Amino acid sequence: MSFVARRGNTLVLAICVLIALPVVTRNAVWTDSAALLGIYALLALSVGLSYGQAGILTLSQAAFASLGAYAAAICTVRWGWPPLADLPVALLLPALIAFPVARLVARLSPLATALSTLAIGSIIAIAIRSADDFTGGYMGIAGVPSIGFVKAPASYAWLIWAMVVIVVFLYENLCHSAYGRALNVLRFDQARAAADGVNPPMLVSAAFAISSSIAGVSGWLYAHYISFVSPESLDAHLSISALLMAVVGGAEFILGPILGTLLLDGLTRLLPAAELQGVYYGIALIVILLVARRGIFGLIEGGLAQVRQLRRSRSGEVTALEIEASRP
Amino acid sequence: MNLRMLRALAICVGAVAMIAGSARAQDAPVKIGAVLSLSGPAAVFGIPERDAIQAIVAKMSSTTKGGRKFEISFYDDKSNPTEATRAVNQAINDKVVAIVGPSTGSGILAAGPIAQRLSTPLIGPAGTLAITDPKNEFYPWIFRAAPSDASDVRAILQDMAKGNAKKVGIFYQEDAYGKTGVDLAREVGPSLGLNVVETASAPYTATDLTAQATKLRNAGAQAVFLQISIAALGSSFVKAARQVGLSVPIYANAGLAQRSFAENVGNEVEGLRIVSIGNLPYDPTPGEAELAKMLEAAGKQPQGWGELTGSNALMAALGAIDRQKGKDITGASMRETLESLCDFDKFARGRVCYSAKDHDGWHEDALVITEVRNKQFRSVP
Amino acid sequence: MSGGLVAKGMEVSFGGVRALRGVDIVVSPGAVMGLIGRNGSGKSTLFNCITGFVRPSGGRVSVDGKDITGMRPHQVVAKGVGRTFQTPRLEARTSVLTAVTCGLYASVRSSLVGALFGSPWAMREERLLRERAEAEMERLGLANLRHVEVGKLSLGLLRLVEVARCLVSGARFVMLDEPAAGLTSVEKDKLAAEVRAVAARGLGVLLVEHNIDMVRQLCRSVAVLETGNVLCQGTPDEVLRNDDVIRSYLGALGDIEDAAGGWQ
Repeated sequence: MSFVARRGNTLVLAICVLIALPVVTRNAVWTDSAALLGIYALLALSVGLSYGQAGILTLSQAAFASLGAYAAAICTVRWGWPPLADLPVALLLPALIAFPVARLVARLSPLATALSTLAIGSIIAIAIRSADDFTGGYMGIAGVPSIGFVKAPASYAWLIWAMVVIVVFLYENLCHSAYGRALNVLRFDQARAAADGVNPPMLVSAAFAISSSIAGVSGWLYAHYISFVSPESLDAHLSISALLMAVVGGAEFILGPILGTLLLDGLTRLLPAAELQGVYYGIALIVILLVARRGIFGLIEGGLAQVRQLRRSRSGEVTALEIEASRP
Repeated sequence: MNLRMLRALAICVGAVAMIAGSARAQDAPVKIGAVLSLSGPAAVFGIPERDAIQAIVAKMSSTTKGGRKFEISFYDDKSNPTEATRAVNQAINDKVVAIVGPSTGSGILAAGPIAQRLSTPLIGPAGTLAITDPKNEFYPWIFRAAPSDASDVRAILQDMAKGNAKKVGIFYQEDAYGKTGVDLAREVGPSLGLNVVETASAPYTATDLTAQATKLRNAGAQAVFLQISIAALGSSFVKAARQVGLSVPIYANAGLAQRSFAENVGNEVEGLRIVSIGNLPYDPTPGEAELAKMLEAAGKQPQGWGELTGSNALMAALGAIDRQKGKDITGASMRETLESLCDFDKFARGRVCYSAKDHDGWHEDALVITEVRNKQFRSVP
Repeated sequence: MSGGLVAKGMEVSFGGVRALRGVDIVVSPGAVMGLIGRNGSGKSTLFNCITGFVRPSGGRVSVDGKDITGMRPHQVVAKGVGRTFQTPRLEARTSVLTAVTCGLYASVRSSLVGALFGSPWAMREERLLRERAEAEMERLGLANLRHVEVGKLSLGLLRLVEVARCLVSGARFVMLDEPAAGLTSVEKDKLAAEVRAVAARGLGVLLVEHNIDMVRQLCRSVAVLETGNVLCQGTPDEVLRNDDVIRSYLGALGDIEDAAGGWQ
C-alpha cells in the first residue's frame, strides 16, 4: 500500500480543516468554538486510542488533560518558564501516571479497569484541589500566558487544529504498524495476541500512556488558550462527554471521535436549552447508540460495505463467499 | 446630471443617513448580556440572579430611569469556566456593551481575558478575591457586584469585636476556601483587637465534630467562626459545641445564608449567626422589600442573596448607561463610566463607589449579621 | 538436556482434577511429532502448558536445553515456540494479509515511538514484514485471498490462515492445533506439503490432528494421550495397531469429529 493510501484519514482531515477553518475564523464566535472543539476533539481522540484500540474504557481523560493544563499553568505562571518549555511536561506527566496505573489494572476485567480509571481520575482531581499552595485549589490559576507568536483566537484555532491533524497522523501511523495490529488482535483475543509474542498488559499500558499524553496536550492547549485553569475547567463531567463523543462517532475508527465531538457539540447547541436539556441530550444519545452501535462511522462503513457488495455481485466479480463455495 | 450635482446629492444623502443613523443609535435599545449559571451546581445562585434580573426588567419595562431603552439577553455558563468563555464570546458577538456575570469566580477569571480583548466589562456577582486582583492583566474590565470574601470575614470579626470577644476560634472545612478564611481572619483580626487562638478543621463528609469543638473550647475561644460552605458541617458543629459545653457565639460565613438551610435544619442551629448579603427573605430593608415585591409579582419566592447580587450587577450596568445620556454607548465607554460610578440606584444596602483603584465597590456595609431563630434568619441590630 | 522442544513430567491440575499426570514429549528439529487423543485427554492442556498459557504444577519445559518452564506466553514466543488456535477470534474486517502479518510481531525491531512517528526505519521494516507474509501465503495457497476479510472465511480457511501466522513468525518449533479440520482435500495436500517443507527447513512441528491419513503421511512419531497420560508412543503404524489405542481412541472417533468444532 502506498504512503498516501495509508494516511487517508490524515489527508481527509487536513483537507477538511484547510477548507473549513478559513471560513469559520471569519466569525469571532465560530473561531472560539473551533478552538474549543479542537481541544475536545483531541480529548475524544485520546479516548479513541484508549477505548477503541487498547480496549480500556477510560473515564479519566479529563483528569489527564487537567494534568497537562496545570503543568502549563504552574510552569509558566509559578515558575516563569517560557511557554513551549512546558509542553514536554504536559506530555510526559500524564503518561508517567497512566502507564504504571495501567500496568497494575490491565489484567483486570474490562469493567474493573474502567472503574480504576474513574478512581485515578478522581484521585488526580482531589490531589489538584488539595495541593492548593501549588495549584491554587478551588480558585485555580489565572494569567497563563499565550504561546509566543500565537495570540489571536484565530491563530489558536489554527494551532489547535494543526495539533489535531498531527495527532491523527501519529494515530494512523500507529494503526498501520505492528503495534496497531497487535492492539487490534488483543481486543478480540488476548490469547491469540500473546501467541504472536505480544505482552498484553505492556502494550495496552503503553497505548494508554500515549492516549493520556494526547489528553495532556489538549489540556496544555486549553490552559494557554483560555489562560485560566481551575478544578472545574476540565472536570469529570468532561471525561464522560469525551467518552460519549468517541463512542457516538465510532471509537474504533480514527476519525470517529472527531466526528462525535462535532456532532455532540452541535446537539447541545440545537437542543432547547435550560433545565430539561439534559433529558433531551440523554434521549438523543440513546437513539444514536441504538441506531449506530459502532458509532456514526460504523453506520457509514456498514452502508458502504453493502453498496460494494451489491455492485460487485452486479458486475459479476467473484466475492469471497463465492471463492469459498467454489473451492475444490 | 453632472458630476458636481451628483456629488452634492451624495453629500446630502450621506448627511441625512448619518443623522438618521445617530438618531437610530440613540433609539436602539442598549444591549446587556447576562451570563449566569442557569444549570449545574452553581445554579442555586444563578437562577435567583436571573429571576431578579427578569423581575426588574419587567417592572422597568426595559427602560432605564433616565429613559433609555435596554435589552437583556441571557446565556448559560453551566457552572463551568469553559462554557463561561463561550457564553461571553457569544454575548459580545451579539453586540452587548456590558455583561452581568459570569456567576462563578472561576467563570469570571476564565472570561476576563476575552472581556479585555473585546473591550466589554464584566460585572461579576461573585465573592472570590482573585477576580479583582490588580495583578490580573484584565483587571480594568472586571467589576464586582457583591461584597468579597474578605468583606464577609471582616463583617463577622467586627461583630465579634462588638460583643467584646478577644479570643477567636476557627473551624474550617479542609479546602482552599477554608484555609483562605483562616488566613484572612489572622490578617484582619489584630486590627480589631481579636486574636485567633485556635483552629480546627474537618473534611466535607465529617459528621462527629466533638473533637474539633473540644479543641476550640479548651483554647478558651470567646467566639467561634465557621469558615464552611457545606450546610451539614454547620449543623454538626453547632450540635457538637452544645454537647461539649462550648457556649459562645458561633458565626458562619455567607455560604449558609440560603433559605433552604434555614428551613431544613433542626432546632440545634438556633442562635447560629450567619453573615448575609442583605436579608431579602426575612428582614428586608425598604429597598430589599421593593425587590422582594417585584419577585413575588413575577411569581418567585425570594431565596437568599442571589437575587440581590444579580440585581446589583444589573443596576450598576443601568446606572452606567444613565450616566452616558445622549452618548453612544460602547463596551469601552461602559467600562470608563463604571470605573467612576458612585451612588447609583439599587435595591441592596450599603454605599457603593467604584474607582480605578477599587473595582470591588461593595464592602461590609452591604452585609448583615443574621441569627437563626425559629427557622428564619433574623437580622441582628 | 538434549536439543529440541522437550517437555518432561508435565503435571497440571485444575481444582483437584489432574489434567496432566506426568507427560513427557519431545519435538526434535526437522521432525513432525503427532499428538492424538480423544476429547478431554489433555492435548490442549499440554499445548497451553508448553506455550505458557497454563502454569504447570510440575515438570519442566526446555527449548534446546534452555528452561522455559513457567514463562509467560510472549516470552515463550520469543524463545522460538509458535502455536495456532483452533478457533481464533479476529476482527471480521481484518484482511487475510493483515492477519498473517500479525504473526511477525515478535520479529519487529522498530520501537513503538518509531512506529508512531512513521520513521523511515519503521516504514522499511513494515514493507519487509509484508513481503515475508506474502511469501508464506504464497506457499500455503492463500495468495489470492490476500485482501479478503477474515470474517468471510470458513473455519477451515481461517485455520489455514492461523498456520500461516504461526509459520511466518520464524519460530523454530511450531505447534499446530488441528490445522486440517474443515479443509478440502486440495487444501489439505497443500498444507501437508508445507508442513513437510517446514520440517525440511529444520523446524520441529507438534501436530494435533484427528485426520489419521494426515498424521500417517507427515509424522515420524506419534504420541497418544489418554486421561492425562501418554498411552503409547511410536511410529504411526505401531501406534495405530496398538489395541489400547484402538479401544480408547479410534472407537470414539465419530464422537470426536462431532465435537471438534466447539472444542478447544
